[in-house]
Amino acid sequence: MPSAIGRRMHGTPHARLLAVKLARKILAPVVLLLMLIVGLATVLAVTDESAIFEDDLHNDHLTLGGAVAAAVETAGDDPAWRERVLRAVVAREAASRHGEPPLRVEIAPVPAGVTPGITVLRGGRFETYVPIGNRGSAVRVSESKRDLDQLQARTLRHWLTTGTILGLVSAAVVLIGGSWFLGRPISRLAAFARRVGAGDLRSEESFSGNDELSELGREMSSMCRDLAAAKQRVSDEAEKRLAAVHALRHADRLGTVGQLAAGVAHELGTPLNVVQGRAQLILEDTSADPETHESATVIVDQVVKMTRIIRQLLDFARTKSSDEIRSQPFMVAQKTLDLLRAMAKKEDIELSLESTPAGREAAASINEGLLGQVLANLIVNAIHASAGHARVVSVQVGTVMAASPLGGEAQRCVSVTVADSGSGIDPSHIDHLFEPFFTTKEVGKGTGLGLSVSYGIVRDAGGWIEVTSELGRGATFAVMLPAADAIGTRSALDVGGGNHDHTAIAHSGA
Amino acid sequence: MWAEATMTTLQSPIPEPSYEIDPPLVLLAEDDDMFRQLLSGILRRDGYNVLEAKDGARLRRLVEELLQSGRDTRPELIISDVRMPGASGLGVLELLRVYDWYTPVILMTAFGGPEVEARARQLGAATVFSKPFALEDFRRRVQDILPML
Repeated sequence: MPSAIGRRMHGTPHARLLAVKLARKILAPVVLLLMLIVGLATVLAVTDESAIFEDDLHNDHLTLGGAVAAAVETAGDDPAWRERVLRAVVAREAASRHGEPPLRVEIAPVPAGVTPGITVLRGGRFETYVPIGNRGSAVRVSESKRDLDQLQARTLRHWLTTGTILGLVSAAVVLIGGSWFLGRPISRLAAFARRVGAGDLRSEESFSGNDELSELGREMSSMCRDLAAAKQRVSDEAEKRLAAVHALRHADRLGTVGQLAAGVAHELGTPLNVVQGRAQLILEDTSADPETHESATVIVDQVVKMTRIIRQLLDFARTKSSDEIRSQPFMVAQKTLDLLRAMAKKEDIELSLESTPAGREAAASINEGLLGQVLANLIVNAIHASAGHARVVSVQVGTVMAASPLGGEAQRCVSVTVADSGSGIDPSHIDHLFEPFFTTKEVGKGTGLGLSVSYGIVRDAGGWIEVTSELGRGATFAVMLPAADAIGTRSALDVGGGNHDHTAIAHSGA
Repeated sequence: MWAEATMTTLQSPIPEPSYEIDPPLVLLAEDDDMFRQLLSGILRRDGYNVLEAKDGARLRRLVEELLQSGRDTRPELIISDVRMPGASGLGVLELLRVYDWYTPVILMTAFGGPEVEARARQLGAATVFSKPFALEDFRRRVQDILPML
């Protein structure tokens, strides 16, 4: 029986087993109690039936005995009469009862110790003596005890059958009901708990009933929701912190590299000047042969190139721009695009400029020339990345609420995004993009300083550059600059404070 | 004849005035030997007298001496590197300016920032050259400040 229920149940073997065990635990006391009640009822029934039977028997004996005694007394001492009376009575009695067992009516002396009129059990028979007048003899009515035994056996059988059926039915009810009302919700709860244990806090499970198990389920559900919310909060927090640490480390590394570069640049200045000066002396010497002249020219050119690289490096390392003024990024973008159109056309690439109405008007605290340098750098990179891949480099100007990756409150920013659908950036390169001398261009095509200089410029304006890219799908560089209200309406102190904080953060680990 | 005699008369009692003026003295301070030799060579070729200091400490001592010496032995132009062992060119310029506001000074700096330039201008430096610079520019500037007659 339990196995049949088990098979019918859904859920896991463990939960099924649990439900059957629970049902069995409930079943045992129920059946025990039922057996006790049925047993008690049986005993009472048998006792009752026996008492009624004996009472009836006693009354019958008295009635019959009394009638026979009266008849015998009336017949007097004639033995033939007496015999006829007795026979008539016995025949009637025998016919009226269930044939067997014989009821015997006889004339007999009352034995010593026996009270007439009382029914007693002697030698397996019920006997009652009814005195005949006062002659010392009596009518003895005796009957076999077998009738009573049969009655008792029948009563016992009835009760035992009833008890067995009752026990089986209640066992079935308990087991089926137990598995239905306990096993099913428990296996649902168990499955739910297992999902939660596996980390799935989002699984929804509705428990609609109003019993304790449903309540437990609802409590578990709400606990899971709370846990999920808490977990989400914790992971959000951790993610934010991680991003800030990452950005800080990045800024710190760039800062260190910048300082290093500045030191190297200072050391290189004098020797470069010596080389350049000597080469110039050769150039001035009219007696030198043309080949020497040629070499001196190359030397001077190369020194000029080196000087330009070192200057860019120093621009990156420099922490403060001396003349910080406000500019309108949209206007700057427009001018920069005008400058670069010719170059783009040579590569067969179209430059597009779009802006939101707010972006068109927005201002930022950054020197126009410097911002132009940043945008030119990004656009030239985009053109190089697009060559042979795509036809359009698009520049978009807008305003957005954003927080610096170094942390801090979200603020209104002017964003200038330069997007291309060119070759894209290898994910492993993204972290190094802004480091000086990091370049993916072929030797001689780029110095690897453009992006680091741009980074330095934007950083000094309190902004940052965001990069998103997919290899082979292009890249998007977003220059984010804290928005200054209309040009000239905000005090420069606000921006100065921001810059100071920023510098402090960038150098904290150096 | 008369004229000749007059001429003689004029010539004999007063010594013939010399048009040979001592070439102007330039004080050059630079710790890099090669560069100092290059610059002093160019200056000498252009006719200047050059007094060389090979580090900041020597420059300082020379400037201190100069402040006590007579007008005719003083350098008429000081050319100095900013970053040198011993003393910085800017520091020496500050010291000089306490007593003397007139001697022109040319400073040289390897990729010096705007801060150095601003301070140098405050102290009345004639020019700040950022290394590496073209020797042509350098010669022209020296000529402007201290013309050779």
